[in-house]
Amino acid sequence: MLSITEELKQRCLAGNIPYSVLIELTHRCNLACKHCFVVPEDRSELSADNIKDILDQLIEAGTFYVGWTGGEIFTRSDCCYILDYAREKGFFQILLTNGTLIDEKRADFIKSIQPSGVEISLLGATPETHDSITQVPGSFEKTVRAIRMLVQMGVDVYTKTTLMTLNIAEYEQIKRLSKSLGTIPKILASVLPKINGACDPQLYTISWQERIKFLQGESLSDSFIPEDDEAPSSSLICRAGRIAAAINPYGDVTPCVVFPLVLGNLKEQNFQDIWYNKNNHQLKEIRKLCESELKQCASCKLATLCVRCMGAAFLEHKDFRYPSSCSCEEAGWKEYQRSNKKKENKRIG
Amino acid sequence: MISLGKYVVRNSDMVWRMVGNEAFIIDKDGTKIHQLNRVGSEIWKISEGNLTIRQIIETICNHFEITAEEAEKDSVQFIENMLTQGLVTLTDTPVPA
Repeated sequence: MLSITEELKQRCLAGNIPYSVLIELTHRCNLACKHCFVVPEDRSELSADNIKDILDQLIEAGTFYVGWTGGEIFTRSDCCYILDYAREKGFFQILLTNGTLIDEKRADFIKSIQPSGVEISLLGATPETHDSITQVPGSFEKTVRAIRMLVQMGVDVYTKTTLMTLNIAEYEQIKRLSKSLGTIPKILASVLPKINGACDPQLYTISWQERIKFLQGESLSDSFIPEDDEAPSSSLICRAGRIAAAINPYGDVTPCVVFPLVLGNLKEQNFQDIWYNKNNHQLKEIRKLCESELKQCASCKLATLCVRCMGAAFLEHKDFRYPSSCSCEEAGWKEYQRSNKKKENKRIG
Repeated sequence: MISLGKYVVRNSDMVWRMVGNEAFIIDKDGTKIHQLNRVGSEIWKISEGNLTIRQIIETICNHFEITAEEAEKDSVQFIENMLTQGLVTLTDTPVPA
């Protein structure tokens, strides 16, 4: 994955320059994952010409890095056309996909655009588990086939797994499978609410007992968002709305793909007019947010372990200053692991 | 000493953006980052293969209101540096747009 120097990051932070933008190409998908947070809307999606224009605007805004996500990006017949334009214009690209629509031709294309990485959702170590989550028989085989093809071509592939009650028992196997396929596993144990705030997916959140049984001593990923190598291991204030932005398929600009606070729409306004809108008070508040304003979090004893997701907080409370249950759970788990390790070290010592 | 009649063209494998007045250039692997000062950034921006070094010097001289000697010294040094780093190449004829 791309790493940027501290200097560049600080410069971008100082100027709220959107170094990294995640673009949802579509909310259409050929799978129906049970934990998915996407809620398609009855609005027309951006055309390829719209997206090309947006990419041109992002260059002017200083964006280096575009992540493409969905839905499933390859359900768009013009996806490759768009990605090729981004390559031509000089963006670092990362693709987030379920992999099922990647055949040899698409794999060749992906190789040709030299993405920084491809993240492919791997939701189980067996067809039974994976397909029961995606609700599409045969999806596991297609996903694994795509992974193999891309790895063989020398593309950097990361498998992305959300651990849930439905697949937690296969945690070790998923890790082993990912590594045996030549990929880097990115595994999270948090399930987000739907983007409209509905909590249904969180019914699949693993229990504390399941964590103890299956994840003892394991180190998981903190973030849902593709991160650079220098992402902090703890942070109460993330970079959403500062050096990171998201654009949904309808042209809405938000601070992050999981933070659905609409800052403006690109069918009506230019990106920089939205991003630097001095009249947007909520955007101002996000950018001047400091730890002391965080309700409850600032005084929490787990603050130094927490990678707080503003988006998840917003989804749960409609207020990004509140704690989010997933971040609290993860911080609590890190603390539990840390104190267990101390006890173990004392015992050995 | 490089010939002032050569055309300067950016390496298209680099990803670059202006951050404030400075250009940040990252190689395609994302492993190397170059940060250019204002003069360097201006030279970088106009190195599209349609200007000779002599023409670049003139542009820099006018843009920054410095003497021709200073402009030549800074520009040549900078271009030589960029050549060494593989950020630009020099051609005998202009590169088509």
